[in-house]
Amino acid sequence: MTVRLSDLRPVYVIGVGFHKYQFASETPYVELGLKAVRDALTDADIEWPSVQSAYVAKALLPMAPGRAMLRHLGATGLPIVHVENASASGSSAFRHACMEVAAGLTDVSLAMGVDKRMPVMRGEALAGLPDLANDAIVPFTHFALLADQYAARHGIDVEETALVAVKNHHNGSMNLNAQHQKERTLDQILGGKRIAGSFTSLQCTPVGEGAAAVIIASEEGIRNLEVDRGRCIRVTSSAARSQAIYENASTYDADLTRETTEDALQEAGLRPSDLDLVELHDAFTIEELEYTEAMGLSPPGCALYDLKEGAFDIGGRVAVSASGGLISMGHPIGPTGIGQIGEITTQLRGEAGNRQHKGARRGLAHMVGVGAVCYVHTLEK
Amino acid sequence: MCGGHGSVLTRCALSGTGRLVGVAPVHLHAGKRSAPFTVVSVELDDGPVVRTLLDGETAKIGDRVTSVLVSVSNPDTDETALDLRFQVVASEAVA
Repeated sequence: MTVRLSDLRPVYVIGVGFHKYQFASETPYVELGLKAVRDALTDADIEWPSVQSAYVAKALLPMAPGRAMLRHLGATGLPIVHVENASASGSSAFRHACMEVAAGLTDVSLAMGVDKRMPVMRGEALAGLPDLANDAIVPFTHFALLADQYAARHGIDVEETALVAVKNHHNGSMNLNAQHQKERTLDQILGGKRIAGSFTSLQCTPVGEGAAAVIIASEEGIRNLEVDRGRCIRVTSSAARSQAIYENASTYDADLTRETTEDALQEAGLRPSDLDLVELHDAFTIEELEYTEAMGLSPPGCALYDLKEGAFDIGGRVAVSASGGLISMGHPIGPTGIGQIGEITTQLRGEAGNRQHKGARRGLAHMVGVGAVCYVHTLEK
Repeated sequence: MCGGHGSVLTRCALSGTGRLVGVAPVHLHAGKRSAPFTVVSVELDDGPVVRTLLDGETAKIGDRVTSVLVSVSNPDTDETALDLRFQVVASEAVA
């Protein structure tokens, strides 16, 4: 018989740390990563030797960057594993770290992500199957096609999808770890550099560099290290899937999101309406509309209406991408999924300052990655 | 059959006609193709959905299209290849 994460020992996030997401710089990845891990240790108020295993997520950095970074904290000999799963690398590292703690192999583990801008090569390009024009369809063009289809399907003005970016840039303007920290008006967003379809640059995630780290622990770990219980946030589900065959060949990202979110919510015993906070993969504006509907936060075709009504604002029905999301906070790839867990933890602790979603008790983190793969986690106070 | 392989798979000819289900003019592209160009998503009359470049300036969802082979030269190698693209044959309004 198989078990789910929630059937095993309870797992908690006990520490969160970031290196700000930023445009490419000369800063070595070691400096980015160590800033996040040291902050997470300080946040949990524990020492490095207490950490029994490390999961290092990276999608762009070359082979095995982990030990060359973590040795500066002390060469304790802990096991280190690197995780690459495209945009979902950080989410994957988090899931497997949680599984190790939940299974009882460790009491305290680190899940962190760090990345720098590097040349990207997709495995699919080497799959040996010729294609018509995949080299012409980079992610922003793929999602521009989906935006065109969504607008036609639901009879909306495709330019209105830019309202997602207005909200997320507003949220990011209050996040010191965000790559973009500026409020933007709809006119400023629509007047930006044109990319593909209806997208302008501020409707697309800025891929840069940065780091995020979370420390997770079992109840035994929390007790032994005398960690402040009031700041520990429980991980209540972990779901992961890959793309299957769907009725509509174009909307696989949304169909995969629907299936994976259903798995996670079922595991946690939650309904979509129970969620106070959602961090989702909004690399492009249209994704927020597609995924909020796929998650059951809005009926089909109603996400834009709900967005305009303020339902997804901080203080609204469910705060979507209170961090600023990928559009404003950024998407350094390896760290992104870990950063979502960090944001939800900070919000559920009530420590998010001026972007605090009041009374937040339950949050959900979602990432998709090319392939396509999807990861969903839920956390509760 | 999903997951089938070997002799289960057979080649079949497609008619090359279909209907546009998505259109995206590309203004910025870093690959070997230079922008602007337009990418289209085509639901073929035979069933599959394929994505490739539009042969033409403008198109919209619902337009009927047919496949065409376009000569494309590669400036790096001086070689010319045939690229399969789609051309609008009737716009939705008159189809």
